[in-house]
Amino acid sequence: MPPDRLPSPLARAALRMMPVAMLQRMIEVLMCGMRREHPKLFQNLLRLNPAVVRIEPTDLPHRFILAYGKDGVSLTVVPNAPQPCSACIKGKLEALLDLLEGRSDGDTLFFSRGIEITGDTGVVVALRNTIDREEINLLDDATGWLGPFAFPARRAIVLVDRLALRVRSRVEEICEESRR
Amino acid sequence: MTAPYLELVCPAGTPASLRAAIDAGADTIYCGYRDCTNARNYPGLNFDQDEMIEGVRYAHERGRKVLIAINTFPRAGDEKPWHQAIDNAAAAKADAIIMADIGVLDYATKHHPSVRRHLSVQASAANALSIAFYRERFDVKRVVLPRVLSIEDVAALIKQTKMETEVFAFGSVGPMSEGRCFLSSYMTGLSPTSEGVCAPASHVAYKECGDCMKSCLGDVTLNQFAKDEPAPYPTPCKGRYVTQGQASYLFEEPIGLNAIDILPQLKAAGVTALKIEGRQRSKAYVAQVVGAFRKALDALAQGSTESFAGDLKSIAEGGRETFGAYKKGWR
Repeated sequence: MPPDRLPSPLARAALRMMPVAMLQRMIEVLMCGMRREHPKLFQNLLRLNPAVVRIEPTDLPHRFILAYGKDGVSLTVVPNAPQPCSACIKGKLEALLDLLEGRSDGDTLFFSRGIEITGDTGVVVALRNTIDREEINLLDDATGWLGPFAFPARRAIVLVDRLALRVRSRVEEICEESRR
Repeated sequence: MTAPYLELVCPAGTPASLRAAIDAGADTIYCGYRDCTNARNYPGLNFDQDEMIEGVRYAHERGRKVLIAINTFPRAGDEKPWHQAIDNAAAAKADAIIMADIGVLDYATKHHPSVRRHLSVQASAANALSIAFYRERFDVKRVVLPRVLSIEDVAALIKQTKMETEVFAFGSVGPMSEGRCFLSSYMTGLSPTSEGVCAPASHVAYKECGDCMKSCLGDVTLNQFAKDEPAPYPTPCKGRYVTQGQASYLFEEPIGLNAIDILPQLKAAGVTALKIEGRQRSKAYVAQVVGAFRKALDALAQGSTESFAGDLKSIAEGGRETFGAYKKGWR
């Protein structure tokens, strides 16, 4: 049975290992899929005041910049160093993916300190509301372009995810045994 | 007078939330236009006319209703956006328009007499004379009661007025005189009552300060909280202020209203509809709260006395819940 969402442990493991150039290329493919699946999201982002939002998944080595304005909408991998931006959103990858895919409530996450925001709160609220207007599924957007191969691709992702979970639990068992 | 059925009235800040609410079991949705005419005028939120027409169609196809909130107060000499919103709501085939201002009510009564009129909580009508005025003058069919009344007060008002009433079941406590609060306008220059922006996000800032986080509205520090301490909404009424050397919540504690365990009493009081607050919250919140209330109402209809306390605690403000004024302990 293919998953209905991108498995975040797998995504985290893959993103951790991925070189910046490859990650940037993957983001471009994903953005292409999202433009095709969610044209209104991009129209609505361009209706907002131009902004540069830094996204910091705290459990990943990578940092991202989402920019929207007169030059369109872009998502770029950036070095882990302070840079000028309108606002910054920090949180674990899973929390950020849940927000993006509409599984979590942003206020609840913020008030329970599951995410942190700094900078222009108006930018973050506008972005959050604009994204929440859409029904986003990253797995669909990432594999949609494969056409008839999308289903087997999702199936392959399940198998890799299960394998990764098995490997991780085996590694944890070995570590536990070696500690005894 | 006991209402045969408690109507579940749910918020939608976006078309996606509207669909989520209906799919989770809402009887009725309330929403507003993307401008100053509704009391949740936050960036990126609300509906344009095409989205509203589509939203009403989606609801009607499933046998549900849509109420459009046009519940702020026009600025002097600038009533056009409110009149346009009323015309648009009528054209979108809204089941009712929720209003507070008597000029807006008058315009709707004269220009669209067949569209049902509800009185917004922003009108702060909390006594029989006030409610009678709106009914007699504008043929208002339903009043949304302010969150300052006990269950006994609500029951007495319904008995006196014989009006349909809608009461808050989940959301903020809001014991202020609703529709009369100008606190955030003193700090930002933007009014909740005429621009629909209580603590506008553009004026809110969170600042790291050592191990703590500070929330500020304009130049005023509202609160300072420790690393793992839950953060309340950054509104002046939820600020923690220092008086006589001690920091405390002078107006309101960060705590959420949840009436899910007093639904039988509200029904017995004669309430017609339950309102879930949260047009500024996400579709995930809407689906969770509406789903929980649907379950509780269905259980109530089958005569169950099951308790649903705690089911929604994690999404209540401050992670704490109260019955608010329904069970007053402070008067």
